Amino acid sequence: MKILVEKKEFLEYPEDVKLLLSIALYEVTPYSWDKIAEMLGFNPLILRERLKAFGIPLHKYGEQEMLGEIEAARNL
Amino acid sequence: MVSRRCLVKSKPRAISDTSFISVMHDIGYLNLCSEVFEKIYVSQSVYDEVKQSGMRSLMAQIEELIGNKFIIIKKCGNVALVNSLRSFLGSGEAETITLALELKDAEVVILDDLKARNLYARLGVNKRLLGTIGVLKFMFTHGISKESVDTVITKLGQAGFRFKKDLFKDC
Repeated sequence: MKILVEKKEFLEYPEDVKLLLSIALYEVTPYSWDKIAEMLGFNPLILRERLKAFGIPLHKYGEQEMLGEIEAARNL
Repeated sequence: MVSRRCLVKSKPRAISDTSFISVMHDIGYLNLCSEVFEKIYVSQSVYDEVKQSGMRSLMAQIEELIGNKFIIIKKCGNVALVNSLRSFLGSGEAETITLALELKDAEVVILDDLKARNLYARLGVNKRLLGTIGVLKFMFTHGISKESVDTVITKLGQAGFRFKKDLFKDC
């Protein structure tokens, strides 16, 4: 996986290509958004800002994750 | 006004990644975090990410909270663990999880990325895991937030969160 997706050439790609690439990488790799940002030469906050501007969902919480959050918050 | 929780038990100390800090700033809730937590530890990488982002408003608020000793910057000792976690996570997330193992006086870890959260859960660290949604849920149930739930749900949507809204609506 590392050999396939961690390519230095990514850093040279235009920003819009890197944004599309980041979405694909998040879907197919175990990497977090911040890891992908670093691979593509973005500051993690800037990558998230760019993706939010396109309405890309960054954090998709299913019912189980939501219930976990609610339970954790209840016992805080 | 003193929130109900302050009267019953002391506030926990948290370790946070960059996402939580920036989202809470974006939606105007970062100052309210002191109603929930006694202090928030952030790693050096989290601080550096914010500093290097060029987001002046966020940086100014963080500097103010550092000045108030609410946000504390901590360096990780276990560099080998950080490097190992960086195989899958960003530097800020890797250092946040490492701090969770190292800091004895923090009770809560705040991570938003589901992949970082899953990795944290697999490590079996004995600290409660929360995300932005959980902290906001707590703020609603304890009267800390004065906005409507719908307003905050909309703000969270704009911040890139997708979730079943019904689960938020019993506040």
